Amino acid sequence: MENISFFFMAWMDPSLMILTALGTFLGIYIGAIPGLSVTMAVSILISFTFRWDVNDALALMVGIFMGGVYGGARTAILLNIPGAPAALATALDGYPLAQKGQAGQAIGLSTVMSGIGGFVGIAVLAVAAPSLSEFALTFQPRDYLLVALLGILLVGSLSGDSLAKGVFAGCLGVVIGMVGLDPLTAQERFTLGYISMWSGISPIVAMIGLFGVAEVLRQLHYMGAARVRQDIGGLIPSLSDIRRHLSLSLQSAGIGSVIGALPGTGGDVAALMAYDHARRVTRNPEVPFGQGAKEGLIAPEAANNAAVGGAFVPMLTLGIPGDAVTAIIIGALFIHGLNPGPMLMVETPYIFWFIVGNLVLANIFLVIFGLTGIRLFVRIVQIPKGVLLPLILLLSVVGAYALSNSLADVWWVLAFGLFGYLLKLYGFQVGPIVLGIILSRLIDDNWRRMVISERDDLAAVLRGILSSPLSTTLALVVILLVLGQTPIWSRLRGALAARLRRS
Amino acid sequence: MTMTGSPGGLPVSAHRAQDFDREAGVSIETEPRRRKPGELLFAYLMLALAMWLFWLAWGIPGARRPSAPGTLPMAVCAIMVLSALVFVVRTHLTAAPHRSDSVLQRVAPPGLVPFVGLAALYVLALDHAGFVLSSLVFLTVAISILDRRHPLRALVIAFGAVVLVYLLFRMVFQVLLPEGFVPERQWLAIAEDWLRGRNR
Repeated sequence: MENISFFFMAWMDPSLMILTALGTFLGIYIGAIPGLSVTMAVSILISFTFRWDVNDALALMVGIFMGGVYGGARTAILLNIPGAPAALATALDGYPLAQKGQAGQAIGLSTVMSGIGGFVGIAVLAVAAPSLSEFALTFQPRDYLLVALLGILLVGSLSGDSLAKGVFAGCLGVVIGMVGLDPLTAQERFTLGYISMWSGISPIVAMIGLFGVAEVLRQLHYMGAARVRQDIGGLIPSLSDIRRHLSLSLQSAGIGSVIGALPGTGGDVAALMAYDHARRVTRNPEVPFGQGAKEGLIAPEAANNAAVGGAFVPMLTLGIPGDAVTAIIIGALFIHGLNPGPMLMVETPYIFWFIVGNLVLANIFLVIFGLTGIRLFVRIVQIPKGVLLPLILLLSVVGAYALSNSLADVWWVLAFGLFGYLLKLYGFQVGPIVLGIILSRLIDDNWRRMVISERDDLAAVLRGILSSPLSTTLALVVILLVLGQTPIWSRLRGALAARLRRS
Repeated sequence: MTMTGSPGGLPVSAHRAQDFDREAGVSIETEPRRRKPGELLFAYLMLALAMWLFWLAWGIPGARRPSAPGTLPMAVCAIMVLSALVFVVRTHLTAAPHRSDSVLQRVAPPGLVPFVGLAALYVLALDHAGFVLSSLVFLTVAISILDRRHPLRALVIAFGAVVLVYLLFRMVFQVLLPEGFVPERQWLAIAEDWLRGRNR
């Protein structure tokens, strides 16, 4: 089977292997250092790597993704500062463990569990995606529309304060994506009469601004540096420890894969839900949750790495991102001339197997790098913010300029950065905006197709939705999400917070 | 802001989350939430933005059919306006901020305004002074302001960073960087010629 050869592409080619290793290594640090984020790094990288071969670019980004989701755990454990939102739950039990002098064990255990979770997620991807993509070929335009809507609503409901703010952000993203000439009629939309706006606002520019510069500005609120106080012992966890917690980690990985596969939601939600699940399922933890329970450490870590594989499922089969990072990677695929969507698996199946093979390789490197080099890590992670933040701004500026050698793009990035900062300050999320921008074209195209095929008869569109069980189910889920007084996730998080308060 | 474990054993990072972020925060709130200074104003600004965008969408010429180019934009903007109304109302219902909290303090912590100003100057300078010079100046000034140690240290770090970034981007990423009145490329070319000349 030639698919196997694509799977091993990254393994055989030394430069690809090096890129994957480099990506994973960098990802661990990027995920760990508060102030840096995987979304920021991948956004900037798309612009830098656009002259590269697509395989090289993907290898690097996939590595960073895998490493980054795990990396946040290390600072969560050592400093009580989750380097990435996916590591928030890890801090709850990881930091107390470190305070008890078990930092090394905690890091080692979380590394191995992340590795296991990662493998489960990839396995789900390898099995589910091909079958899902066959099913996806039966998707009608209305189904795509509904799934895209679902994704934006899901991300929106996890946002800052409220679903309203999340929906607002998502719609803003869709509008930003519509700036320019209408692909169907060449009608100017939102261009304010400027010809320079005809080609629209580059999503990469928006991403670098919203994820990069805005985050830099936000970090100015947290300038104080934390010092690693603990003595870090041996990292390699005992086999008995692993065996004891294997079942929980597999369950958490399952949860993580499914949540990762839901459009829009990723590692951070997966980690919280897995933590909650672990609390409910563990009868008599040797240490209570919140004070250093190992179960509270491994569940989120296994889940958030499983979510990585899961996030690729809708992305590669439907062209709809499973989370923020895959949204950015879709942007990268577009830039390299690929077409994420159900046709991706049909026209260019090698990309799918290449990514799967790459993910496995990155996962292996993750375990290797995760169990070594802790001293170097501690040094680097304590880099003062005063040095880090200007550097990130520099890289963002270069990233913006590199897109089309135009300073106008750099100004746009700064503008988005300032805007994104204010949004974050006042409880909005920038994730839905980026998701909206990426999905804008898909939503527009499918809306038009849906409506044109019924000759502008909206009643017929409705009948069409009701006639298909898939469409009806999707529509019902969308409606339920909107009608739920308090969106599901924030209620869950509220309950989680309430339980923590009581403990 | 130093991170020490609170006596109760609950991680302090959870408390930090409530202050600025409500992103993925497991926030632990001990009193009813108060508006941040400027939050209501911002909410109204967002409502205004939504309404302006709706007006723009309304202006897109074409028949008012579902498949017209302006229809989807109008629908999306309408949803934006509706959701903006919801959060404006919600923000009104939230308690007003503490008297002592000033907009300036909360929105712009020390270092933010100078940093943004510096960044703007940097971008302005890029076109005229070129990448190397502008970056050197920007990094040195920014690091010395933010890191608050000896400016010479900042200069050294800035120098190292610019060299690294320059090499990385020219060699590995093959990215063209803005050139200003410092003709780096000409200098590099002259240097190469000179080296070759010496070897003759």
